[in-house]
Amino acid sequence: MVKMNFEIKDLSFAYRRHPVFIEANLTLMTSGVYGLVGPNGSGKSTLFNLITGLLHPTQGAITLDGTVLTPNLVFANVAYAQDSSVLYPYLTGRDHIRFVALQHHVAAARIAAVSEQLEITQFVDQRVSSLSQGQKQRLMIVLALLPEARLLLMDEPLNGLDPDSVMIIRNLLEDFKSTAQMVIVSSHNLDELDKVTDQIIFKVDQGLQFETVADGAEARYAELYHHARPVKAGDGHA
Amino acid sequence: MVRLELTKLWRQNKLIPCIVLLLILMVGSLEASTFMQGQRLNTAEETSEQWIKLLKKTIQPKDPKQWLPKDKSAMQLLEKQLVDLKRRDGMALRKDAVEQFTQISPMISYSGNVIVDSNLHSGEVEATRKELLYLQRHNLATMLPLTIRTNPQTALTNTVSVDQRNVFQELTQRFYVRGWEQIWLWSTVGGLLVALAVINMFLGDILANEYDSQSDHTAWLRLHNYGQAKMVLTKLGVHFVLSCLMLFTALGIFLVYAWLRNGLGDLRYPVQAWALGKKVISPYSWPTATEEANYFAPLQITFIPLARYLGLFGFFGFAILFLNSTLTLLINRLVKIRLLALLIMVVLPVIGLVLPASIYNPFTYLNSDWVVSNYLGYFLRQRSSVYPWIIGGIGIIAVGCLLLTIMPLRRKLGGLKLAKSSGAV
Repeated sequence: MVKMNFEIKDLSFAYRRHPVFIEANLTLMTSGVYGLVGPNGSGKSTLFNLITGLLHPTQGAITLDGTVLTPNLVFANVAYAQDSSVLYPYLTGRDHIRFVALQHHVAAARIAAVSEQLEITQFVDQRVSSLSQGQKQRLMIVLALLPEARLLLMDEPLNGLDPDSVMIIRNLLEDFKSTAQMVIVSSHNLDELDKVTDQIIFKVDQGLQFETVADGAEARYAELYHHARPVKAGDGHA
Repeated sequence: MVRLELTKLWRQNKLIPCIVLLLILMVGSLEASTFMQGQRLNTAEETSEQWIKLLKKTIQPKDPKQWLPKDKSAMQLLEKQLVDLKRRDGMALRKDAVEQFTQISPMISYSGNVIVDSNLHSGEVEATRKELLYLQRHNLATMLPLTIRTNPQTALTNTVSVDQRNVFQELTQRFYVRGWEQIWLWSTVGGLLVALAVINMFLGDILANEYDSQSDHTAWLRLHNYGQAKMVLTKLGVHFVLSCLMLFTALGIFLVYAWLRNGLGDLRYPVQAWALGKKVISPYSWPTATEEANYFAPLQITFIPLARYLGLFGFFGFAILFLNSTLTLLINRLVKIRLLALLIMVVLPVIGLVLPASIYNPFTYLNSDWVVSNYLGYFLRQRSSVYPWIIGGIGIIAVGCLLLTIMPLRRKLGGLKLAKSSGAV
């Protein structure tokens, strides 16, 4: 565990009249793997888009080590494994990798190592349109891993994966526990999430709530979302 | 970034097919011209033979030995024209035509008409005479068949009766069968707009492509320091350079083909242009000569070498391609639906081919032949050359399009746009 300071302060954001965040707060102080959990449509991807500057908050700030995240800072410090639909179907995996590597000045050895780790070498020269969902997801993660960003955001990396891909990504997440990177993983697969972390950020109403769940994320999820209860915008601290 | 854009277009198979289609159209145009020229020359021979027979019958007395010297020499000249036409000898036909202009009523034998007929402006007849003298001065062969030099709007401004239409066409329709001449032809018939339509068929969605497939690919690019402005500028560069490269690659291959097929032609060949100059005074006393000799006043018909015409046309082409690139990006930015953007960008130049010339029609100002020859100057009643103004205007509009494309959309708090496109909530 390495000391870091990732902070979301008084974050508000809305889609027209539908508020997603109202003065939400979150502070994460150390590297490691964190889960981000919430029902469908609650705003998990929106949070990642806000962190990376793809969306702009109506109010509030997001900081890394005390500095507000600007596009340049995001480029240098944040990697985001988005939904694989952002990949170009007519390009190959290698085309995508080449672009990221050029932009971030990634060495060939690093590309080879990450490709090996995520086992994409067999299909890296195929067009994305011909890849399975799991293969696309792994390619997307390779692209996010290449720059060695301090903060890594992974949006539903376990969705629709075959068992082999799940195992590969689970091993990867396990490895992150011992690195200096902070990884936030959004997932509906609470079983898998439980296997890699007990530190969960819950999206509750229009706020964020950080908890260490000793009994597993699933039980806590049931408590938070299946049993309706009045929860005010919460503050989370790690 | 440039590499990524090039890779995208390459993987989408957009480059080679575009060049091939352009080449097919170019070669098709040359072949059509060659075929039609062959047909016309055959018809001209027949008409000429019939016309000579008819003339012989009308000359009094009937016996050729008793013809007056002027009738005899006129008939000999017509027969010589027919022989030269059969031999497809452009050089000899030019000499014959120059000699015809020493006659009281110059005649192109195969038309069966004297060239001041068919309601042609005397300015056009003068232009033909000037052109022949230019050809003679530079010892150049005429295009086949030899025709009257007409103005871009002759067909519209002259009232040609139905029975004279064929004669008018025979007198005026040229066939551009050599390489350089074909490019000249394309300039006069809106070939540049056709080329734009073809290029846009392949590159017309260069930006809208980023938003297609229910996904905003720019969301991934922006994470990697490839923002909107950078992307637009990169795509502009790639679009413009590729448009030029594809067009000139096709043109290069076409010229090799044309060289092997009919030759490239002579770059000194005279092209009619309009410029401020001395008033034309016709040496003839044709009915229209005195009134209409100065038809284009204050401009006058002049001739420039084909090389100069093509040079100006080439630069104009570059300007149009740049405008097309910026307009493509702007339309793509506004529409964002790939197929719709493609449709607009293909239909837009085609509209320019069918709309009538008018000061209210923007395509009139993009008519390359009118701009390069400065016929547009006459059309707009200008004294000086409109070429630099049109190029400047194109540049200003292109920069305007570019600024509108780069100008960030008003930042909506809440960023509804991205969320909608990526389905992220």
